[in-house]
Amino acid sequence: MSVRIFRISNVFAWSLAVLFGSMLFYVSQSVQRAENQLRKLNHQVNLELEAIRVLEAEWDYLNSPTRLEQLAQDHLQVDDIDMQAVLTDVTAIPKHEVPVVPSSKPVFVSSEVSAAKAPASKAPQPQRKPPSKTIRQSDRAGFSNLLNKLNDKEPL
Amino acid sequence: MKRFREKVLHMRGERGSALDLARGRIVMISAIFVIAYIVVSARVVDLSLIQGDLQNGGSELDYALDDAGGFHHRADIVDRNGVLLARSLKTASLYADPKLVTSPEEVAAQLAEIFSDLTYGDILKKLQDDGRFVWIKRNLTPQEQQNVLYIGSPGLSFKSEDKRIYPQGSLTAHVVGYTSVDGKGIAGVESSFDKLLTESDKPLELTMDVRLQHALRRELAAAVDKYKAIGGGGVIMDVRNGEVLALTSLPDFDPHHISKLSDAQKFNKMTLGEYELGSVFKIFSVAAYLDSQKNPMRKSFDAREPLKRKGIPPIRDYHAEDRILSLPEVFVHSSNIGTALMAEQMGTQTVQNYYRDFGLVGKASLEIPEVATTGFRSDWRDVDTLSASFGHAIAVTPLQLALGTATVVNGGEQLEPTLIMNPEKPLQTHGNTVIEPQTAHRMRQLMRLNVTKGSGGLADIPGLQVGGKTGTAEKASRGGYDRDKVISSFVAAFPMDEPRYVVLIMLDEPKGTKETHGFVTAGWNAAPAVGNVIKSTASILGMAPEIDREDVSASLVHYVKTEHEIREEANAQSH
Repeated sequence: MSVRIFRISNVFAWSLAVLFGSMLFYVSQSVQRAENQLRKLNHQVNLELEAIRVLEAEWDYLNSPTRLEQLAQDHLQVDDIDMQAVLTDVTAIPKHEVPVVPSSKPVFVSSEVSAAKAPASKAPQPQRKPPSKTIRQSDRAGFSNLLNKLNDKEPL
Repeated sequence: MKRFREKVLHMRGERGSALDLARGRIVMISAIFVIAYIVVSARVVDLSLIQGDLQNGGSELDYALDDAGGFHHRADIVDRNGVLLARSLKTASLYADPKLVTSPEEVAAQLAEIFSDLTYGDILKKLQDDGRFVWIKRNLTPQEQQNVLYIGSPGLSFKSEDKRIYPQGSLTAHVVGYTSVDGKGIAGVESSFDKLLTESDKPLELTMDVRLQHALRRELAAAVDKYKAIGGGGVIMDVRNGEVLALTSLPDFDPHHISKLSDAQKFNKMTLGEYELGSVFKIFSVAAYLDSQKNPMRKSFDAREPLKRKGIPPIRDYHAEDRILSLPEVFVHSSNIGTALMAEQMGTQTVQNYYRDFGLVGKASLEIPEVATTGFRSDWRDVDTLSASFGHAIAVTPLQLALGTATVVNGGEQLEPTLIMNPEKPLQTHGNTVIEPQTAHRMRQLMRLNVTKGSGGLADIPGLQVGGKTGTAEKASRGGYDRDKVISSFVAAFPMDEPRYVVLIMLDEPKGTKETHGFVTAGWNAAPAVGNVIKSTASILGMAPEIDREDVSASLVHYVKTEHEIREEANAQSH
């Protein structure tokens, strides 16, 4: 009776069971590994989405018309449009003047002379006051200030 | 071996079979145990070597935000261009359990590096506390949180919450409203759409435009500041469908600081405030007169003497002309006597019906909870109709004034003011008309004439054909009117040949300045503010100025006598 355990068919059946068992174990481990990875990736995606939400809010905060207007005043030499200066008729724009090409190559004059001729007094001057540098530094702080404001929200 | 086998053979019989049975059982039991041990050891390998490895790798992220999947935020509120007006952010707040912090000095130094606004000493003091819970910093950005995680101290933990943030700050405060600390809408759109915002994922799109809103609020704030008014309000409305593009009321508030709000800040003057708005009401009285009378343009109105009627003080003109006026002159010179005479001719019932149809009475359909219901006084007498014709004895909200004006200039179509975008049908109206198109055209001409020849001159922007009407009303106080306290307002529409937008600015108790020669009337303070708003918003609205276009009021100019003509007439009479 005991001899029968080692019959070919038994050995075959045992090894098959072991083989399938280990395969099943391997597959289940792979699934768990994959699930773990998926969870990790999903988590990262969620973190990124949250970060995007914050960045979008920050973008709209930094692009608020109030701030843009302040920046434009400080950094650009642009004024409000004068309605009477707007041309609605395209033909009213004068044609481009054809530049006069000199017939001969201009003679090179020594640099000292040209330097003396240069209108030193008419160096372009900024028309508005120099921009206040503080704005740029405070931008990020500005948004964290906004976040900090949430701390003051108290129950009604 | 053989002997053994013989012994085995000896064991046959009854006792032998019993032994066989026992042996079989032993084999079976030991087999079960062997299998059990194999399973246990396999599970040990699984837990300790394979899964343990995975969990070490994953736990770094997991312990901070265990509810990362499917976190549901309250929906955004955006303007018509998708600019965020309100958004909920999941913010993590950092707290520490000082008992679990092993090396406070080291952790404090690292935290001070992450948070530039916290000092090393301050954090260290907190970390050496005796308690088991201490806040380090509330509402971190995700980047800051990640940096804190890298410190890896077991004493540091996060509490994550959904926080409502308003990137535009106080700019749209009165419309958007605010939420309580537990995220429930309390005022404005936050309140009226609380259920939708809680359940929906889609952002709620408003008809507002932050650029227009900013321009309106900037000019209103400048006017309030310049004329030392106690407050003011303004609105920009699309005359074709009642979309509110901008709506502001000053003083306003920062929606992040709602616990310390004063009543004046919370009060939305545009929708909740009921005011006797004065001469701007002549728009509706004259429109009703034009619409209900035959040949109204041929009528003339005797404004030589104050109008005396029983039950009310004599009706006088502020800018007294002391002569007989044509209908356009009544409107342009804002004659109280003239409009009172018109109202008297029409009768109480007709006038009240027109006011009701213009949307001046009742409740405007704006989608915020802060909307007042206005009505005619219960003790209405026929003489009150005369007072109402120039904006006394009847109190309406400034929003209703803008709505009525839009109805007059758009050709007479009734509108429902709205704050919510309807992407399917952007130009939806009821199709009910209040006045004839010819009447509407006449009113556009008259309103334009008021800017070219009358009190609204400071609102004129070349090429945009601004038309409007000024109104300055003394505020009602105990038993009468207070001369020093006025509400000045200017309601305009542009361009008058084909109106697109109504702009209204109202100032509460403006004071006279040197520039206005001490006047507090709307022509000096509200009208230029409206002009500035139109000037800076026309390009945003995509409107090019058309300098060469014929003025709509051109055909009415001859109705309005110039000073020169009046003088000559007076001379002719005296000779």
